[in-house]
Amino acid sequence: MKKLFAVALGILTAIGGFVDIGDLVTNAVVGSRFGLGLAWVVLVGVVGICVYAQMSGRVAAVSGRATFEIIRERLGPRAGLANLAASFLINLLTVTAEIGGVALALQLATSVDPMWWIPVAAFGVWIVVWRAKFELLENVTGLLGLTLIVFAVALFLLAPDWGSLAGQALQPSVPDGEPVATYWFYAVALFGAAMTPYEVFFFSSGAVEEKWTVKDIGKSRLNVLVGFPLGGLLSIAIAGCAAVVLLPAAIEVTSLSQVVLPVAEAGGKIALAFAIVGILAATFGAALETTLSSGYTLAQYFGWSWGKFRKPAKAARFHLAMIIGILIAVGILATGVDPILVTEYSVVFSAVALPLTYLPILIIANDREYMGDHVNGRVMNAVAQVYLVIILAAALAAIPLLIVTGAGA
Amino acid sequence: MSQVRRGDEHLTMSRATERRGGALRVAASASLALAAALLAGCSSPTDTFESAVGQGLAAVETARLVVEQELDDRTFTTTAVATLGDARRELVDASTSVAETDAPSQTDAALRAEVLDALDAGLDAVNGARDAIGGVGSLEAVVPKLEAAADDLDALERATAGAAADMLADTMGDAPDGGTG
Repeated sequence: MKKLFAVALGILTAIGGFVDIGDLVTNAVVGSRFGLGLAWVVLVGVVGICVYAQMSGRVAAVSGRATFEIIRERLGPRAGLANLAASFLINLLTVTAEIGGVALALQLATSVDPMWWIPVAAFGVWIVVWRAKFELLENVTGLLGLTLIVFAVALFLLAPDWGSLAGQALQPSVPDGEPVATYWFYAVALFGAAMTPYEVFFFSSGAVEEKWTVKDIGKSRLNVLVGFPLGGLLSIAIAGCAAVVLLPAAIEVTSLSQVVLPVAEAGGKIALAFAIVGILAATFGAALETTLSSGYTLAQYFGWSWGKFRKPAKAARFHLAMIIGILIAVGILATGVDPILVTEYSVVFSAVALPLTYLPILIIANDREYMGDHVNGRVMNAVAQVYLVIILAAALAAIPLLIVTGAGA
Repeated sequence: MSQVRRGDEHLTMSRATERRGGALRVAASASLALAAALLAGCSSPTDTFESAVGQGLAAVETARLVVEQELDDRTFTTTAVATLGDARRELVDASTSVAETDAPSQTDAALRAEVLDALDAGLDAVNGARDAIGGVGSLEAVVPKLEAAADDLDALERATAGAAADMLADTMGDAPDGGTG
C-alpha cells in the first residue's frame, strides 16, 4: 500500500511538475495562432523527454551519481565545460522566466504590478530552497500544479467542435496569413519547451537526493512514462483552450493574463481560481527546480559538495551558486524586460542547447563501466538516436528561424 | 641562422594567425550585418502597419472579452485589471511602432494616420474600461466602444493585408523574369 502510494505520488507530481512557464506560454501562443496544428510537436517532445529522462534516472539509480558528475568524468573537462556553459546559461534564462512567471501569476491574483512581486518571488524561492526538504518542495508544488487540469476541464466545458479540433491536430497545416517559417519557428520553440534541459538534470540529481537504487528503476520509469505524457495532455489542453476561444477572436497571446481568459470563459471564477493557483504552483515549482539545477550543474562539474540532503553549511558553494543565480535573475527582471519575452527566448535557446545536454546522457547510458547490465537496449538506442537527429535539426534551425521570422512576429 | 629562420617562421605564423583572426572578425561582422539586414529589411512600412493593427486588434478583443466576463461576474476584478493593463501596454507599443515608422509615399502616410487613429480609438476604449472597473463611468457603456474599435481595426487589418499583398504582387511583377504574370 505504501509502495502504491509512493508510485501514485510520483506520477501525480510528474504530471503537475511537467508544465512550466515555457509550456504555458508557448502552448497558449501556438493555440491562439495555429489552433491544434502543432499538437504533434508536443507528442514528439513528450516521447523525447520520456526517453531521455528515464535514461538519466536509470544512470543515477545504477551509478548512485548524478548525470552531470559522470559527464565530466567520462567525457573530460572540456566537453563537460561546453555542456556546463550551455546548460547553465539556458538554465539561468529559465530561472529568470519562472520567477517572472510567479510575479505575473501573483499579479493576476492581486492586480499589483509584477515588478513589486519579483523580489517577493525570488525571496520565496530562496527560502524554500534553503529550508524545505527536497521531497516536500517537489511534492507540494507538483500536487498543487495538478490544479492546471482545470484547462482540460475548461476545454470540455467550452463544448468545442471536436471534429474540427481533431482535424487540426491530425491534419496539421499552416493557417492562411501565417508564414511557413513562423510555423516551424513555433514548432522548434514548442519542442524546446517540452524537452527543456533542466528537467533531465533535475530528474537525475533528484534521484540522488532521494537515494534511488536499482530497485527504484521501475518506479522512475512509471513516473516518467505515465506522468510526463499526462503532463503533455495538459499542454495540449492549454493550446486547445486558446484555439477555441482566442483564435476565433483574433487574440494572439502576448501575456499571461490572456492565457487564463478561456478558463474564466468556460468555468467562471472557481475555474479561474484553480488556474491561477495552478500557474503559481507550476511556475514556483519550476523556479525551485531550475534554481536547484543551476546549483547541481555547477557543483557537480566543479566537484563541490552538493545536495539538499546535506545541511547548507556542508554544501556552502552549492547554496551560494543558487543565491547568485537568483540574484542574476532578479537583476535581469529589474531591467523591466517582459518575462513572457524572456520565456519565449528561453525555450528557443533551450532547443539550441539540446544536443549538448542529451548526447552525453546517451553515451553514458551505453557505458558498461558505469551501467553494468543496465546499459541501453537496442530498441532504446534506436529511438534515442532518432531523437538525437531531431534534436540536432531543431538546434540547427532555431537561430536561423529566430532571425528570419523576427522571433515569430 | 636556424634561430632566425624559426623566428621568421614564428613571424609568418603570427601573421597567418592574425590574418585568420581578421578573416574571422570580418566573417562575424558580415554575419551580424546580414542578420541585422534580414531583420530590418524584411519589414516594410506596410508590414509594420499590418503587424501593429493585428497587435491592436488582439488587445481590444482581449479587453472586450474580459469586460464581458467582468459584467457576467466570471472573472476576478484583480485579473480584469491586470488584463486591461496588459491590453493597454500592447496598444501603446503598437501606436509607438507605427508613429516611429517613416512613410515613403503619400499612400503610406495616409495609411499611417488611419492606423494611428484606429489604435487611439482602441486605447480610449480600453482606458474607459479600466476607469469603469475603478468606479469611473459605466462598464456597460464601454462595450459598444470596444466593439466599434475592434470593427475598425478588423477592417483596417483586411485593408493593410490587401495592401501588403498588392505590394508583393507589384514586386513580383517588376521582377526581370516577369514574375508570375
